[in-house]
Amino acid sequence: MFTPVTSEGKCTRLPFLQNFLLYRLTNFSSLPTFSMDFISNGEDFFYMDGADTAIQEMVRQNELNITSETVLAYLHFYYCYVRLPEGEIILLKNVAEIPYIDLYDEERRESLDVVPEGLQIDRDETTGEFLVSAPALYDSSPMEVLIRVSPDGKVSTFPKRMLTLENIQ
Amino acid sequence: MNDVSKDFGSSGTPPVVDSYAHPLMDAILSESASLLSTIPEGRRLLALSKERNYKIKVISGREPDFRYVSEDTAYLVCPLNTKAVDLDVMALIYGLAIYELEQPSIGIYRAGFDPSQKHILFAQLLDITIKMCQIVGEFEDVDNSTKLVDYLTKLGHSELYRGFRLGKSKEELTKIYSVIVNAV
Repeated sequence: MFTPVTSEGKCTRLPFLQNFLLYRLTNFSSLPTFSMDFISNGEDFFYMDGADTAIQEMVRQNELNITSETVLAYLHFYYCYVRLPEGEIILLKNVAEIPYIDLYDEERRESLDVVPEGLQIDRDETTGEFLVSAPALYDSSPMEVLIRVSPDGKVSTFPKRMLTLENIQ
Repeated sequence: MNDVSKDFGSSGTPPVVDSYAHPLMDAILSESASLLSTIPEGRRLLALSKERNYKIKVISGREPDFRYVSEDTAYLVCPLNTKAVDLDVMALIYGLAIYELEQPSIGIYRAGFDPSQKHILFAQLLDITIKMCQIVGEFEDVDNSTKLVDYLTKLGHSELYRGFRLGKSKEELTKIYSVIVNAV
């Protein structure tokens, strides 16, 4: 699917991984272009298959480093790359952003440094879990969500209340 | 989200594989084709695929999608966890993958990676997006479900769909689509 002449490879650092980068291979031979993403240290490549397979491999290799500084980027990444039964989840900058987000907005969905207004990050010292509260697009509905992130990268998302534009004014 | 989504058969936990092929490929194709065959355009596309011996395969990937590979081969992309995927969406994608293979034979050509061919790309994408509206409309007529209409809306095509359902001309639909994709 990828030949050197018609393809391009790019990589970017993920703040929650230590020695692995996110790689993207894109085939430009026809339009629309076709991309496949991998997590790799340059030798081992783990394909992003729509599940958390590659993330769990990072846990096994003791690569995943979730802290209060990296948990937000991890969540943006997780919601972008792991397909969930709950549907599409996107952490929002604020509720006013909703009308401008759709599934074609790859750049926004892949942005790991968006800081939601009202973001709250706490850590449960007994379990090591992070508890994150933030506005989100939850299966197309604007919600305030509570997210539990375990030290091994498992994410559980709980909708708390529906948001409207009035909530933020 | 998944009030009618299926686990694509009863194959249970997908086995560990070392290729990109989706471990539930046969079930995905079979169940998607079964659903697609409930609408007229779906039956036409499935018959065409059989007649021309198109090769449709399924690879795992981040989100449901389809990819043209060669003149007789296309890939469907389906997340590994099929519980997180609507069968309706996969059936739609299956139909569109077949249609993309059909397009050159009806005068809709594929653009190369060349700015001078952007009009070809626009014509192809407009054509396949209108086909998407047709398939979604037929599903809506058959089962009164708005699931795929909601999916179209997520993709940003609600106005095009509304125009299609109102019977607007190709010229009018082209104008709507131009606004959606910011074409000039």
